[in-house]
Amino acid sequence: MRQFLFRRIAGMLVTMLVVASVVFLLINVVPGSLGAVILGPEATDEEIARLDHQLGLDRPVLVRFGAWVAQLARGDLGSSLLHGTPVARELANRLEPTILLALLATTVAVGVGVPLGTIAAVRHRTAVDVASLGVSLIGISIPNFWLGLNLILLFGLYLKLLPTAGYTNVAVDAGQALRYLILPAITLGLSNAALIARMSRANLLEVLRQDYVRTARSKGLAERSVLLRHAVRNALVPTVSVIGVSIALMLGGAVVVESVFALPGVGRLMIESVQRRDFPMIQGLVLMIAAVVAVVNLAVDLLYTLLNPAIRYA
Amino acid sequence: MSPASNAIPFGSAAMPRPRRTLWHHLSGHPGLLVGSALVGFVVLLGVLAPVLATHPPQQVGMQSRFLPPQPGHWLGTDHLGRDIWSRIVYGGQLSLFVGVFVATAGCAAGTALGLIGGYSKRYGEITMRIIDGLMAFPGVVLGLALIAVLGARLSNVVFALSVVYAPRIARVMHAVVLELKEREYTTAATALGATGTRVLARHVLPNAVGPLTVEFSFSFAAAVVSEASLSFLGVGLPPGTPSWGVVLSEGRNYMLRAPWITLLPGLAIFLTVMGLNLLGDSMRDFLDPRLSGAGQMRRE
Repeated sequence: MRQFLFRRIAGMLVTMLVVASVVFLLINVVPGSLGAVILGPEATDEEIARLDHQLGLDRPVLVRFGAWVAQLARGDLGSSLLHGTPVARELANRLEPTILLALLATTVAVGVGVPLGTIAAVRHRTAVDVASLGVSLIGISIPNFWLGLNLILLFGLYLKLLPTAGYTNVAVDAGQALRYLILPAITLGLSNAALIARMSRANLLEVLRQDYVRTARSKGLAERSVLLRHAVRNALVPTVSVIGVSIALMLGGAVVVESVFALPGVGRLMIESVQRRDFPMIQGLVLMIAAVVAVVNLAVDLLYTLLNPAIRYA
Repeated sequence: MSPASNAIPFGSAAMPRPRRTLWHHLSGHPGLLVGSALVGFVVLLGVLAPVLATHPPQQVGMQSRFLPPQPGHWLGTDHLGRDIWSRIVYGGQLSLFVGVFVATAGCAAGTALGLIGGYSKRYGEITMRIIDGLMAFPGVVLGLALIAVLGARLSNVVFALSVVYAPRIARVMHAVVLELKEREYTTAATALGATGTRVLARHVLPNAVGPLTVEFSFSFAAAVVSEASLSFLGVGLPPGTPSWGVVLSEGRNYMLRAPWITLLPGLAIFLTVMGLNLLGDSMRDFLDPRLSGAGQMRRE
């Protein structure tokens, strides 16, 4: 077990190094000067040279990479080009809506996905199964932003039940914050619910073919008990890893959904930074998001091992 | 199956089971039928765009602003009086181009990387580690960052999305290659003295074509959604371009007044993506019936 842990954590560190290198390369090996990209076509050569110097872009690539990694190791993500404030602080200011959105959306995804997949597997090859596959296909294929806009149109503009855009901090008014988050969470949650439904259906079908399920049935257990005590429990184990994957997907989805609902979260900050060409900010955000994904993946792997001792020594 | 076939022991070498033909499969699987029909329809729309469009997609008309669907503008017009039907048809052409290009580039690069990962003793491990690193970036985030650096142009959007999907395809192809490498016919060919290249060309690659087609279909779908998302966010194709994402985002401020501007392009994206997902899913069922309905579709 210790060796397994060690191997996984070492693997993650390698992944993080790749992530950091990619993010660095992204900004530093641009054809032409980054200063020119930031300042636009009207800038003079002098202005471009000054900005390049300010950003340290006139130093050799390897020196810059070393400096950047050293800076990261100190926990310094750099400063915003526009406001001069540390990227980490800007990021921290935007975390609340994104974290709450991800939590709520995961609740929606699991709450809809697992029951849908379970019912489909229990009623395998019936109309219920086909309908659930159909619903999950729709969920997977529907674009996030379009679903969001349709929900705004229906619940916000026509029925006037929920606010369509904006946010209030939880500390100010928790109830209002929740009202702002309902539609975004449904938007982001439903597509992931579709993925989770497909996976839990497949997992449960696999489990239902196992010998121990046949044993449970042949010793005369009620079908209900076979399902709940033997099958569903075991089928949920691999579903945990899908939930991990879907959290990574949600961080990407949050970029789109926060824009649709004008939520001042990390995703919205990413778009704003791209529009303003605030490269240190983009760099810091991309790095943080990838780091969160890598850590979540590791956590899910470890959780999976805890839940399923059979793979621990594999 | 006819009763007579029950008389033959299952798996008998003397009498192989009747081969499952594509048509046989098609007739029993409405998913494949509906998927091909949807995709075929979109391809037709895109290819025939110049014929089908009733107006030039960029033609503005101040007298024809916000017209609801009606004869002459049968899907209505937008805030500048541009014809929605014509913009959707040309948008389809654009989506097809982006989808085909990204899926082709992604599959080519993905297969190459997957082969290196599965075959190269020296570079295999490091290749797969780099791919793991790239997979840590959510697709939209990596795409956004690349476009921020390169600039919002069609060629850059296509390039960025190819970079996003190649590692995802490489992962799948790596798994496929590892499995094919252990098959008996590959071992047999190697034992008979076939060179590595020959085994690769004659045994591994031909058998990887099936899973690759499935990946092509899913990446095509994902690329269509991603291009639309990026354009919707205002960082993909420039404003005014008849892309489904752009049309949608330009209409979002007028949703109450003219809901058709956002509803219809979104419907087009949704149906195209659903068709491609159905097609990919059904092809996978055809290749490996055991996995029916089990597989992951690409979401982003």
